[in-house]
Amino acid sequence: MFGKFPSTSRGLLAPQAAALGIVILAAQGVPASATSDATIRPFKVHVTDAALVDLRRRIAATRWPDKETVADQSQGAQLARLQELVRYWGNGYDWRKAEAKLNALAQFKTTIDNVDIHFIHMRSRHKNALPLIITHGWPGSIIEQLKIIGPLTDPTAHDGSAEDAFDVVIPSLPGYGFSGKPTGTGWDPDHIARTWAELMKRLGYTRYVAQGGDWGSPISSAMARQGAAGLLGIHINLPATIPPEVAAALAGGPVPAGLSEKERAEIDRLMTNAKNGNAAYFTMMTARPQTVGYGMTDSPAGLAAWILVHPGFAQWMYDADPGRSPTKDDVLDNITMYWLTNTATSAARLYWENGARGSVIVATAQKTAEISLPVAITVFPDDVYRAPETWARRAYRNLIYFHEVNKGGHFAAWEQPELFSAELRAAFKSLR
Amino acid sequence: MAATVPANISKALAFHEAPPADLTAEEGNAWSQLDFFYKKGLAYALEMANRPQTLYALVDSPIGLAAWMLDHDARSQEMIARVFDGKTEGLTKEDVLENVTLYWVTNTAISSARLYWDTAQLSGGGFFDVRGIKIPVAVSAFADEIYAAPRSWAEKAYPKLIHYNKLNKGGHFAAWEQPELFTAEMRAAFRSLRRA
Repeated sequence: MFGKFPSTSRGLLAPQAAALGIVILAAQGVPASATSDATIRPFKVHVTDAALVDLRRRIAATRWPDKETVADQSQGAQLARLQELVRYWGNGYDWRKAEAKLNALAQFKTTIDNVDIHFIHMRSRHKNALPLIITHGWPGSIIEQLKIIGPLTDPTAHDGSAEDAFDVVIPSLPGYGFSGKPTGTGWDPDHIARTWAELMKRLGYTRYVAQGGDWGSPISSAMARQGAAGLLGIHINLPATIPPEVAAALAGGPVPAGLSEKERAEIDRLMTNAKNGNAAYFTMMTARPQTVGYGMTDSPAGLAAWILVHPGFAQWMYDADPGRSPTKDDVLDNITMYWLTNTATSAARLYWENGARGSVIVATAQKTAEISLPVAITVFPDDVYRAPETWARRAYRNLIYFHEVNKGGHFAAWEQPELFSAELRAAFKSLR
Repeated sequence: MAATVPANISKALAFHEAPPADLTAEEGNAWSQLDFFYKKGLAYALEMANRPQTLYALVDSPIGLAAWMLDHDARSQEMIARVFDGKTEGLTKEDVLENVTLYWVTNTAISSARLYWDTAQLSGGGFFDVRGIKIPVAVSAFADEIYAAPRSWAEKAYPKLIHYNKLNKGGHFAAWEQPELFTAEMRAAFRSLRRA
């Protein structure tokens, strides 16, 4: 199923990393530059001690600004909170634990359109498991999905039945994590969607489903719009459902008449988000990924602050309320992956690539009318946008599942893995 | 950088509408410059206006600070880049690095960005919108400024416009780039206000 494994060889070292004297990754397999075929190569993460020493040295040497002049987050990441997190990053946090978690999973790389695509591939022991490709977004990574692998592949150990089983494929986006960095343009969500279809084809899957939130939503939707061979349907959180007249209102036009209470409340929420500047990071990365990248690439504290500016983190309590949100280690696993792979700039380019297409939550921008495959949606209450069902039905003509749950936010798989997994089981039941 | 943009132009630009058909050549040029700035150049200001405190990288990384400052506006960046390409017009490498270093040694990248945040708390309209100033105003419109204010807009924006001049060189950092030209403008602009 995986094609032929090449003989093991060590020494896949990025030349630029080697030139800096910091060997970032050593992997087993054939160097990407030597392959233009469809082989699938096993992959393990191993960051050098030198890279971790360098990170801790930089953290210890952080130069801090003065404190914000307000008592809340309205000017950005607050100094005292960020300092606490970054100090723990330098003194208490252990990347090797994250590495061990990743290396306990089956990971691979394959080269598609000259870019190495890294992915986790975990098969269920149950027969007739439904293959599922799950796509992360920014500022997330495959770290977001680690906690749902167990419930999805091994449902009988997690409140499910054998009929709920999935085989899961979790790729790192091009320019993200352990995937390669595109050196040219054109890697927009449509291109990534075609790449994922090729990936599933290489894995031999002829009937599968796709899932995504954040950038994973437009990418999964593009797979549906393109009618990827074998794709049976998609599940998305953060769906593109804002109707044209509402998009116009959000751009400063008149608020349409005849809205339901729920629709009106959602417009008010989106307008408040806009007024509070929650999308400034989006605008900056769309316009100037390279300019914003230098600082994030050279400063661990700068990277952490920029990642934590995402409104999806606004309600995180870290260790203060473990029942409600992930821990400091969770968030630092993700930030450290961006750091060690030096992907802050390459990841930001996805916004530039998306460019003129605009918002990922506007129906016309994402051409949802062109999707005829089945679509399932779960709305999480603390996400940055909560699609009303009325708008979802307008946007997706073949909406097979719509459910509002009572907890979870933008990073739902990470925050509420059991609930998220239960949603995927219910959403795809009719497609098995 | 004068604040002269008429309300209907400001609104049309904000909504990405087509320019009004009756713009003069000079106004059409200002429209194009503003349209480019709003679509491609405003992001840094929005970031600083909304989340100045998130820019920790600018106080912890000299490279991060330099990149952020040199990318102020596209034309300025081009004009600065030509110095590093060996041309002698305008600023020197030392000029550019003195300024970046001043922000670095004073650790003021974030405190200075707060000016955008504080200004955004006021409902004063856009940066280039007409402010209703009653006292005498003089305008020098430099060719490579973010937008070169047309005389027609300047006359409407400032009822007591005592001086207007278009310069064929100089940009956003005109005093720094073209000190002789800039100083000559100061002399001419304020001449009528000196005591006899």
